[in-house]
Amino acid sequence: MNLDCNRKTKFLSRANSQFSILFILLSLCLFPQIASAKRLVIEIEIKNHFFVPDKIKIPADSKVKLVVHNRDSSSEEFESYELNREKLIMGGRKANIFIGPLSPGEYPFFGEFNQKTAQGRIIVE
Amino acid sequence: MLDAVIIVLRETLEASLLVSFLFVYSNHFKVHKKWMSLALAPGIASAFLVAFNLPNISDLFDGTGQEVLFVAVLLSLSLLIQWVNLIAMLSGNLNVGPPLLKMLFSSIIILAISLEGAEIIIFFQSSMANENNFYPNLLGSILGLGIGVSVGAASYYILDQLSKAGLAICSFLLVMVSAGMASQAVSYLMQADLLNSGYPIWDTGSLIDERSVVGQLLYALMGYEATPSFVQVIVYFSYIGIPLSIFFYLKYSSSRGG
Repeated sequence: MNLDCNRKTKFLSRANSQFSILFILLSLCLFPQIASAKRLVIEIEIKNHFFVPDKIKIPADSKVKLVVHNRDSSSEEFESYELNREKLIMGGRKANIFIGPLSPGEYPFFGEFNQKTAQGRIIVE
Repeated sequence: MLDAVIIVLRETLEASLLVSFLFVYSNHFKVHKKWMSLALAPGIASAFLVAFNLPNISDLFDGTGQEVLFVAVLLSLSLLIQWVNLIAMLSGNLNVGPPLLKMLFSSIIILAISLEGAEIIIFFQSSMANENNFYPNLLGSILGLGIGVSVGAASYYILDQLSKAGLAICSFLLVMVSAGMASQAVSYLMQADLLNSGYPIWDTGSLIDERSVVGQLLYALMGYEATPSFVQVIVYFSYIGIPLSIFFYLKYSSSRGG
């Protein structure tokens, strides 16, 4: 352990500190998997052009993976202006959409191809 | 029906405005506008190819294939537009042959039609599944397409009439369109978790709603987003600042050299 620590400090002192800070920031940006190990997964279904459930509660300030299963035979586009998200989900397929971190509030989403029925809300608490 | 008008209009508007700006450039460089008719068929063919393969494309890269494809197309498009624009801005200093310009113009239109067309095709496929919606959606789509093409045509004639000023407005709008595409690409990277998503740095939604007509038009013209994230804003303004710096650098160094 001690040896390992020594090696680390040596490396840091040798390397330009500005460069290492930049490197850490970049790696946090480019490899989100490292930045957040555990992640909430929420499953949503599209059935007869309705979202089930149509109200989803998620905690504030955390990244969430939405898995949207399209049970209809026709395609749908998951869209939300508030979340800045837009994804085509083919009939009978599923799609992953990552959202957050978000501040508390309500974030509506809808199915662009069937807006009359396909409406939902993400409630961030 | 109204939904169909808006869906198709949104997709058509971006492509048709792009065509109108490139037509203005064609006139300026005295390039025959035949490149458009040559780009149309491969563009539409490629849109069908994307639309029919999107189910499988979407499953690639751990379910992020759709985002990866859209990011690749958007970034290529935005860089090609910047390239054309730089040529146009420096046209006094550079000697560009029409073949290169024709190739750039065609590539931009093929990519734009592939992306926007694929979405229209998928929407259409989806509405065919429901017989009650089919005819209203068909009518709406034709209306949306018609309005989109008309706006593009109007923009072309107005900009062409303005000659020198029209050319300046054209290159300004193209920079904005390209910046908007890059910012949209960043948003797709965040959606796929290939880039960390941040909190929006401002919210202009109460000022200009993204859903409003003005909001939609601004989205097509400059990638307007009411709640952009920090990285999006940085990328957006780099896309405006970097070509401007290159332009002034080249202009300054060439005027000193000559």
